[in-house]
Order: sequence, then C-alpha cells, then structure tokens
Amino acid sequence: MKVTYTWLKEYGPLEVSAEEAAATLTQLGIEVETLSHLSSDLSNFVVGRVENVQAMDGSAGLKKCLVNVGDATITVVCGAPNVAPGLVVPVALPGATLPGGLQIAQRDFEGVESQCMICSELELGLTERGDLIMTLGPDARVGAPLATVVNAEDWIFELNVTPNRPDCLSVIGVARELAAKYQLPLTLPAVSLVEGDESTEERISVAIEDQKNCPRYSARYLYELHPGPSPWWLAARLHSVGMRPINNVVDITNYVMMETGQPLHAFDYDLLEGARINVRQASPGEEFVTLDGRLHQLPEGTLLICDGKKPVAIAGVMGGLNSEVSSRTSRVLLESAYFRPQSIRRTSKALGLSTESAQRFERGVDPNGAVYASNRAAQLMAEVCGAKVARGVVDAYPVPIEARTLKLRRQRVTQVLGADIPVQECARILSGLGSKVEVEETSLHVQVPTFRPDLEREIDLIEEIARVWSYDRIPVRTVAPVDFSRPQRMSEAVEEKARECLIGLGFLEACTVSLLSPKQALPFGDETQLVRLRNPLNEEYSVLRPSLIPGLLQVCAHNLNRGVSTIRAYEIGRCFAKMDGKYQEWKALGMVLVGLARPRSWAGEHRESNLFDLKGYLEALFGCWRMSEVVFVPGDWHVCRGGGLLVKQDGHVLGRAGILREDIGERFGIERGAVLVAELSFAAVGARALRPAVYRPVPRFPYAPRDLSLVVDRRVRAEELVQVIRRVGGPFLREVQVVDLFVGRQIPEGKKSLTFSLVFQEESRTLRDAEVDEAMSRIIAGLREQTGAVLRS
Amino acid sequence: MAERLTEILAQIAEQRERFYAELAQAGDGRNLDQVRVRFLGRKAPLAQYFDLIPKVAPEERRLLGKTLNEVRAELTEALEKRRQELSAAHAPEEEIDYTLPGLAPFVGKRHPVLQAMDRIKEIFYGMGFTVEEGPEIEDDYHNFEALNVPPDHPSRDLQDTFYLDGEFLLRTHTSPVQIRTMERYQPPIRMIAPGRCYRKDTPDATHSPVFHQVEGLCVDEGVTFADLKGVVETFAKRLFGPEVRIRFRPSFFPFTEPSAEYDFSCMMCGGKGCRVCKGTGWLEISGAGMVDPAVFRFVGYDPERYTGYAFGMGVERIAMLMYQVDDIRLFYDNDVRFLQQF
Repeated sequence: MKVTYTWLKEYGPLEVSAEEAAATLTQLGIEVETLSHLSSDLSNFVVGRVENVQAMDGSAGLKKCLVNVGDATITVVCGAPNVAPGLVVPVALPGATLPGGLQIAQRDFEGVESQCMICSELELGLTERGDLIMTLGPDARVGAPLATVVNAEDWIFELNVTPNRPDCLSVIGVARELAAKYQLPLTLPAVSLVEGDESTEERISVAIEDQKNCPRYSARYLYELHPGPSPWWLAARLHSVGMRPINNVVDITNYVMMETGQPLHAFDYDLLEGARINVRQASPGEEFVTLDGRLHQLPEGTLLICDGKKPVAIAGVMGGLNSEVSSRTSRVLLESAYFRPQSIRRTSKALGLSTESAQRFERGVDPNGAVYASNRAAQLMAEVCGAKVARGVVDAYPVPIEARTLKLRRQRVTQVLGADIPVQECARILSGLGSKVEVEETSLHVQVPTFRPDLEREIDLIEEIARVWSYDRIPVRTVAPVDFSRPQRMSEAVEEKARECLIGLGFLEACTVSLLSPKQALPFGDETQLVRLRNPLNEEYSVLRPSLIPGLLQVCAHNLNRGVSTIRAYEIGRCFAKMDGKYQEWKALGMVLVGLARPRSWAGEHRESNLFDLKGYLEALFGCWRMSEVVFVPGDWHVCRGGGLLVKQDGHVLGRAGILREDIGERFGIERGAVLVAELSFAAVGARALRPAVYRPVPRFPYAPRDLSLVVDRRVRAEELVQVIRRVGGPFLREVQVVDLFVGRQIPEGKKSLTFSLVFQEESRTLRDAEVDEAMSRIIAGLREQTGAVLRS
Repeated sequence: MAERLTEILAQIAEQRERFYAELAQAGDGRNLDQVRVRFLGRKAPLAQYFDLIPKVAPEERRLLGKTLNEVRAELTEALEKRRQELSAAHAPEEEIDYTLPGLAPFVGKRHPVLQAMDRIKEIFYGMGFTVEEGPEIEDDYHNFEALNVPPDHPSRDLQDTFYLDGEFLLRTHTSPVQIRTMERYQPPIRMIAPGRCYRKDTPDATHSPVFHQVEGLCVDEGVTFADLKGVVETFAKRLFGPEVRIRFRPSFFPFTEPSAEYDFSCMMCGGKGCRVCKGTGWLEISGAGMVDPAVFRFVGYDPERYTGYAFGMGVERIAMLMYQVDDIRLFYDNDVRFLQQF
C-alpha cells in the first residue's frame, strides 16, 4: 500500500516533515518500508496559454504555436497532436531542467526558433502519459509559476499494513493515525451532490439472495457522462500510488477506493439487462469472463453480481468483460457494497485473483461507509466526467451492522501495560481513532467505529492506547518473582555431556536439514514407516529423516566433492517414523568418520580411520556417560558391511555402528573406501547414562604389571580370552588390556598372537611376587584349558 | 642377634643417604667414579655387609640379603642415571628446528547455530527461565487453533505449512510448546522453548525450510508489558553488549495483544546506519507481545487473574548477526572449512 505525503496532508493540518511522519507511522505499527523523495526543480516552469497554432510546412506534425506566458508571448514548436488554441499548459522556459535531466534552451526547428517547450505529464514525471501535452485546469493563472499548480516535491510512503488493519488500506485511514498521534483534527472531504431529474430507483432495483455474504449493496445511477482520459491531477495521483490510469470513470472509482478504502465498481448501464441487480452464489459449473479477458470456472459459493439475466461481476473481486465501462459508455451503475470478508477471501484465493478490491473486502471494509464513498465518487464524476447524478441511492441494507460498545477498565490498562496512563489520555487516544468515548469513574465506555473490525474486546482497546501513547514510553522493569521449583530435564544433561565429549574428541557438530528424498531415506528406515509430507517443497525434501546418518552422509558428500577428505562429524537431533498409524519422534546421536585417523603432520602416522577408531570413540563416549559393560556384537544394520555392530548394555540395544556399504554411499555420491557410521538413541541410553559417580580410593600401594603373550587359534575372539582372564584371575586382577595383535611369519598357520597387559593390585598392601605369580599361573592354565591358548615362546 | 640385624639395617640406610648426598654433589664423571668406589666398590661398607650374611641367624639371612641386593641395585641405577644426566648436560646442544609446526590434534567445534542457541539458553537460564520441549510433528490444535489463529489465516496455507496426514503438520514455530506447557502446569510459568521449525520456504540466502526458534513465555499475576521490555532488553545487552538499545513497534499476531516487533540497535554501526542494518540503524529481530486472553481460555487459565508475555526469535538470524554470516544456507551445508571457524 502506497500513500503520498501531499495526499495525506489533504485531511488535516499535518505539520511534521515526511521523514518524521514516516517514523511516526512505523512507531504506530503502520510500518513504512520505504520512503522515497520525489522532487523536481520547477523554477523555470510557468503556466501558459496556447494562443495560436499553425501547422509547419513539410514537417511531420510539427506546429508553430504562440504561447502566452504572462509577461510575454513566445514561439514554441510543438509536435503533440492535442495542442490547440485556448489550452492552458505547463511551459518549460529556457534554463529549465526536466526531471529527466534535459536542459531547455532555444532551438531551431526547420527555420523556426522555438524558445521553450510545452511539457507532457511524462516529461514532468507525473504520469506515464507522454504522447500528449499536459493540460491544466482553466483556473490555473497564466504566467504563474508552475509550482503553484503542480507539487514540486512529494514523498511516497510504501506501507506494510498488517492484516488486522483494513482501515489503513486507505489514505484517510493512514491520515487518521497521524491525526490521533499529533492530536490534530481529521477533515473528510465534504460531499455535496447536485442531483438531476432522473431517479435511481426508477432505473434499478436490487435484490440480495445471499444476505449472509452480502449484507449491503448500494447502487447509484449516473447519466450523460463523458468518458475520456482523466485530468492530470487524477492521473498523477493514481500514478503516484502505483495505479495505472485507465479512463476517468474507472480512475474515479480507484481514486475513491484509495482515499476511503471502499472498493467501487462502475457498470456500463446500457450493457445491463432487466434494470435489476441480484446478488447470488454461483451455480455448480458456472463460468465467467472477467474484465481482464480471462475465463474462470467458478468454485461453488462464489458470490456473483448479476443483472436480470447474467452475472456481471465476481462480487468484490473483479467486474465482467460483458459490462465494462468503455469510451462509448454514457450511463453508469455505480456499485458500493459490503461483502463478508471470508467469502471474498475464499473466492479470491480459489481463483488466484488478488485484486486491490479483494484485498480490502477480505480484510473487512466499513459496512457503514458504502454510501459516503458512492456519493464522493458521484460528485467527482459530475465534476470530471460531466455526469448527471440521479436522485437517491438504492441501498439494500436489510440488517444494519451497528457499532460495538466496549467497556474499558482503567485498572486493566495498568495491569496489562505496567504503565500508568491517565484516563483522559486514554479517552483522547480512542476518540482520535474515531471512537465515541464516555468517561466514568473507573472505566470508559467506548463506541468503536465500524471501520475498525479488529476492535472487539477490551484488550484490543488497550493495544490501541499503548500504540498511540507509544511503546517507547512504557517503562522497562527488570525485577520479577521467579519460581525455581520446577526441575531441569535430565535428557538435556545427557546430550550436553555427549556434545562435550565428542567436541573434546575432535568431532565437528553438524546441523542438517531434517527433510530428505525418499531415495536417501529409504535404506535407513522401513518403507511403510517413512513419514511423508503431503505437500512437499520438492522430492529432495519430501520425507522426514528416519535416521541421522543420511544427513551426515550428505555432509560427507558435500565436503568430499570439495576436496575435504577427512570428516569427523556428529549430529544430535530428532528422527521420525509412523508406526501403527501413529507418528513417532525420538532423539538420536549420529556419527560419521571418514579419512585420516590423525591430522597430517611432519611426524604423524598417515593412517586412515578404521572401525576400531569409531569403536574407541564410542567407548570414550560411554566412559563420559559413566556407562560400563557396553558390548559390541554382530548386528543386522543392513546399510553396513556384514550388518555392522549392535551396541548393547545388559542386553539392551543402545545403537548401531559399522562400515557403510559402498552401494549405499554411492546413493549420496560418495565414492571412497571406509565411511564409518554410528547411531545411538537417547531414549535407549536415557537413564542408563550419568548415574552418580561414586568415588573409589586412589590406590596407595604400588601395582604389579605383567604382560602375557599368547598364541591362540585365530577364531578365538579377544573378548573370550579377556573373559577367561577375568574369571580366573583372582581378586587382585584389576585391569586387562589388549596391547598387541600379531599374525605372521613366526606364528603357526591358523593362529594369532595376542598380548595382554594385566595389572594386579591390592588396596591395603603391596602384593608379593609370589601372589602375582600364582595368579598368572592360574590364568595361563585357565586359558590353555578353556581356549587352547599357549604362551608365546 | 636380632639387635645386631637391626643395627646393620640402620647402617645400610645411613650409607644410602650419604650416597645420595654425595651423588648430588658430584659434578663430573671423575666425581662419580669416586662415589662409585666409595659406596659400591669392593672395599665399600656395603660390600662388607654382604660378608655378614652367613653370620647372622638363619631366619634373618633372607631379609638381609634381599635388602642389600635391593639397595645395591637401586644405587647402581641412580649412579648410572646421574652419569647420563651429566653427559647430556655437557653434550653439544642438538639443533632443534622450532619453526616446525606443533603436532595438531583434531579440534571439535559446536555448530554456530547451536552455539547461538546455547548462548540464548544460558542468558535465559540466568533470568530464571526453564527449558521446555515439544514435538516437531504437531497437531493443528497446538500449532494454530489454541494460539488463536483463525481457520482461514494465511499462515495455515498449504503454501506456508508442511502437512502430514490428518490434523498433523510440522510445527511452524515453537509456540505450541507454550500451549503444551500451560496445559501441564499452572502459573507461574517462566519458560523458553528452543527447537526446530519448518516452513515451506524455498531455500535462499535468508530462508531455509528448516530453522531454529526460541520462544519465551512468562505467565503470572502482575506480569506486564514493562516486564517484557525488561527481559528483551536484558537479553539484548547480554547477547550483544551493554550499548545495544531496543525498540518495540506495534504489530499484529493472533496470539498476542498488544503485539510488537522488536528491534535491536545495529551492533555493527552502533545505530548510525550501515550495510547490515540497511541504513536504518536497527535490526529487526522478531515478534513479542502480551499473551492474548483467548489463548489463556484455550488452556483454562483465568485471563482476569493472570497476564503474561511471549516473545520469539530466530536462532539463525541471531547467529548470522553474531558471526556476520550473510547466507543461511551455509549453516546447513556443514562445510568442514566453515564449521571449523567457530
């Protein structure tokens, strides 16, 4: 919505600058998105009258004109087809500069000295009309500076009006806001109609079939009117607020709509049949051609304006081609109505027709402003188009919509705002906005104008007061009573610990889009359980992630494609599924590991990460969570080679880990070796993590370390050996670690060598060698018996 | 005879102490040789004690032998260690190229959006707010209806909201967590709801179909717009520094009345106007307002007794301001070279 500074000033003595008015509007909640300054230097422009026009021989359309510019009559060569004696026109004298930058000087045309220039509206930057010279009204004084007629300067406010404020989709509405703020009177244009002999009632009857959606329909009849281009001031006004001038009849309806907010429609009366208007809903399958020439299949419930035989307009949205005003029109039916906002919104949306008219009706115009706007337009048509205005208005308004009265309690204002605003101030603000206010001891009785459908409750009035009084003046309070009894959530601590641990282990935290393509999501979730969007943006974002791994693989692909070959990342977030008809979501931790195990350096080992790096990180994480006895067993994660590993504690599955299958990686555009992935569910980890840490004394006596190198059948798993060692190791065995694995020349075929580092300790004393030796013998014997392991010689 | 053993052990201990004292004094190899001869040589007292072993009572021989062996091994080792130290000290200094870079570990980083989120949470914890969560798959009731959004409101449009089956949708804001929290608890409420939200926006420099929001809510007796201003202002100053000013402008949201947009003065130019604030001196942050009484009716609170304020903010927006990131998509690309910067 655009308004101009000069237009706003027509309704009251606004004295502040345009910049200040813009800042004030923004502070009132009518956000000024842009303020543009238009200015032209009109210092060498005057009003002139064409006295004489003479065609020039041999030149295409050029005419030699004598123009009276007040103190002199000068010669001008002009090519415009409409130049004629008697026209009052803007004249650019030598030294003038057109808004486009052209300097005016004496110029020779085919031997005729042209001393100045008669301007078009386009040349003066007023409208887009450039083929004709601009004509000023007959009351412009010849010789007067042009700046006394045309504004040399204006400002255009581009407003962002919130949907609750239909009244501010009009210049008067915006002017009212400023008037309320600055405590100025608001003066509406006085309308005095000279009505002709004919009577509207004899020319038209109105029937409303659908009174619910059309509570009011008023019609006026105008005759003997002369359609044509609008005068410059009307065209310039519409141009300044971004509307294209069409002809004087249509331009007047648009002008009054911009001014008052009431959309109007003019029908060519001679194209209406049956001298009647009927407002009804479209029948199934009905079609209609709007005045932009488009054929519409009308959805059911579309409200139509019909004459005696056919539809002539889609109510509140757009008129029909069949009854459009044209240059041949001499009689007009002027519609000014109130339609139910929901009905217009539905139709406008269904047809994809968001017209200026629909935008106002769907937000709610003033039901009681219809006739004022109609009269205002009729008056302008009389002035501009020479129309005669028939007597009276046919106004079908069976159940008038009355103004609401609300009670506003003084103490409630303070209770909500925390500011003590004097009651007189409240009353003044509300009156300024158009309400009738009665002040009582502890409350106000406020009759709210019908152009403010958004003011329905006491709280709405409080907002009005706060807004006009200014949010800036509400104090800032930084003291508050706080109830700190509610517990913090445990889950947050578990997540936070995981983040802390993984950051410490050198992982980057990723944050990926939780929407995926089915192709990438499918390997990670059951097809029947995928959560699909009903109206996705595109295929790429059409399902919710069933796992964090696809997003992390996208991260790998993104980085690998850009030459970043080491990626260590995790993400914590929600995953989704639909199970047994119910949507489920759960929090998970995903990890991905690709590339080097340590950063490249001049001294480092250049080894790629492997499954045991991943397992080590997971074990470190479980350590941070203070979870022990977590085991990794063969799994069934089919995105991983061999099904990957299940991560369990006490038979309870916490998550999965493994080496990604290459064909899965290819779906993401990853073409390289080992991509290691793991995913844990916070629901599964849940209360198992972060059990209270209980202090164990730090040993005071020395420990006894022993290494044990074994040769054992290759199929025997390290875990089995560790279990045997623990079982038979006796009470002093504290730690068992695998420190070496060797398969090779000195080891017999089918065997492997494993070295364990054992630690023995007793809390209350130093162990004797013999005690440790005895435990070692037991371990060696036990291993031999239970696993066939022998000491490596 | 036990007395005799005790005496010998004491002498051994004394020898050991003397040894260490002299070892510490020894400044070169020659001194060390003298120390070795004096304490570990064939004529040294220690060697003589070995001769005593057969002479003590049989049950004490083992202890004496073990002690002597241990002490001899210990002193020999200490002497050798000292010898190495001395030779290292006198050796010509090895040439170390200290310009070689340090051996870098992998360094983990929190995601910038989540760092902003952490910072926001921390500030609100400090002001006594709790953190509440709700589902990302919401129902129409909690996302719209109970927030007083009418059935034909534009935000419910298929163009703006992702829908699932039935009444389910992807939450378009974290405001439904307000409703869920008020359904569960009676006032006072003082909470924030951080989380992911979804809107049907085609990704561009300032839009992402997935984004993060933090919503705040405070309900109690006597809560006013002045408290809202206090909380937002304190938040602004703690986040961006004490010189930041705030501005509230009237606006419109179905779930607050009065409603406001709040802006922070531009921290880049101090409010003078620059590229970041598009010359206005102000940065639009988000919406806020007093909870609409209609919302209280949906959750069964008495709007006459309780008042409350609510506010929201986009976490990506804050992160973009914190780190001067000019394209929201960078956050979701997760380029390693980007993430490592924060």
